[in-house]
Amino acid sequence: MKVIGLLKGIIFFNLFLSHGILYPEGSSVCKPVAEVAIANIVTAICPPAGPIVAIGELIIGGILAGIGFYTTHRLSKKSRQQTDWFKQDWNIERSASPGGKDPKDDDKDQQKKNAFFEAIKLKADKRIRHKRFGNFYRDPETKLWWSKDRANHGGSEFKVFKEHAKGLEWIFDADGVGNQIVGKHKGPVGLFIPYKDLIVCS
Amino acid sequence: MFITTTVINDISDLNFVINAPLKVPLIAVEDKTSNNNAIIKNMWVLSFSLTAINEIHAQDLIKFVAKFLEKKRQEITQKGIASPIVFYMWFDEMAAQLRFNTIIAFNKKLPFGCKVDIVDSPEPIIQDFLASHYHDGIPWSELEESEDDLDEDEEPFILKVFVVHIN
Repeated sequence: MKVIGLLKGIIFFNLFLSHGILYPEGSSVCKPVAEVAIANIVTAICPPAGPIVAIGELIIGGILAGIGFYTTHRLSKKSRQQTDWFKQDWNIERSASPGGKDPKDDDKDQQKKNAFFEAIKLKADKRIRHKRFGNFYRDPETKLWWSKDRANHGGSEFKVFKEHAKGLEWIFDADGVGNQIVGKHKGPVGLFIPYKDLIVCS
Repeated sequence: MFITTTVINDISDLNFVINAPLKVPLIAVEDKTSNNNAIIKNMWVLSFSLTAINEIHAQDLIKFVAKFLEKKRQEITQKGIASPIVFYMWFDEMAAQLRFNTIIAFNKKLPFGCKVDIVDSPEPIIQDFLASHYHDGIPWSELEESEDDLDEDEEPFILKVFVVHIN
């Protein structure tokens, strides 16, 4: 019972510490938790029947309290760092964000994308490979080459190229079902291309 | 809805990019009402002519990025935009382009579908861009006939991205 009381005290004491660190001074959360923690520790060390005799309990309790305090301190420090998320979290998050997609639509969208890509592969009359960029598939009708967009930024699933004497020249990015989303233009600097004027490729 | 693409023939052409206003409202990546077209509405796609590539130095582009950021900072202050705005830039190697975008930073993820390596300055990205072999396209000599349907890259793809808060 003494051990349980002591453990309860340590847990509550650490809760008190964590709240004391995470919340500003004067938070109403701190006071009752602290009182319960102190009461538990006092009861465990000095029960009504007399003072604790097992010194082992004190040593174990002390070690656990130390571990608890260290863990709490580290967690609270990390929590504070999250407010400075540019420095910390951009470095941690190296995975992708789908970009404004409702997760419920993901499966359906993915099926459409897969179907489109499979159709490109099936239709292709030529297939070539680049060591770093992967496979390119040529559409026999348009003579355009389709390849997966490795960066996959903002919904761009494919890079589309045309053939020229020296190799393949990028002409536009396409979404998962082949719609052009970013295209090349040659002409005055900074020409704005109305979105409605972009050609849908399928 | 517009997409902006730009061909840089001369270093002075970059002034057009610096002076172009942001399109507001800016979009947060995880805003459920947004879509990918909205996310890329402040994206710039810079293609450089071969002449420009030979004439422009890394320092010119680093200065350009600094000027662009300063201009956007002023614009955001003038427009009274309180949301945290993030600028990020990367080198699109397959298209041989410098690309950058400006979004609201309510979340900690960038809208890429690949792993990203966040770099502290635009310099490594600019260096990679200028040193690229693909400004005149992907040469036939690097392409070989393929028998399989494997679309996985032989080398794992990690994209360098420079990210900075504008305000």
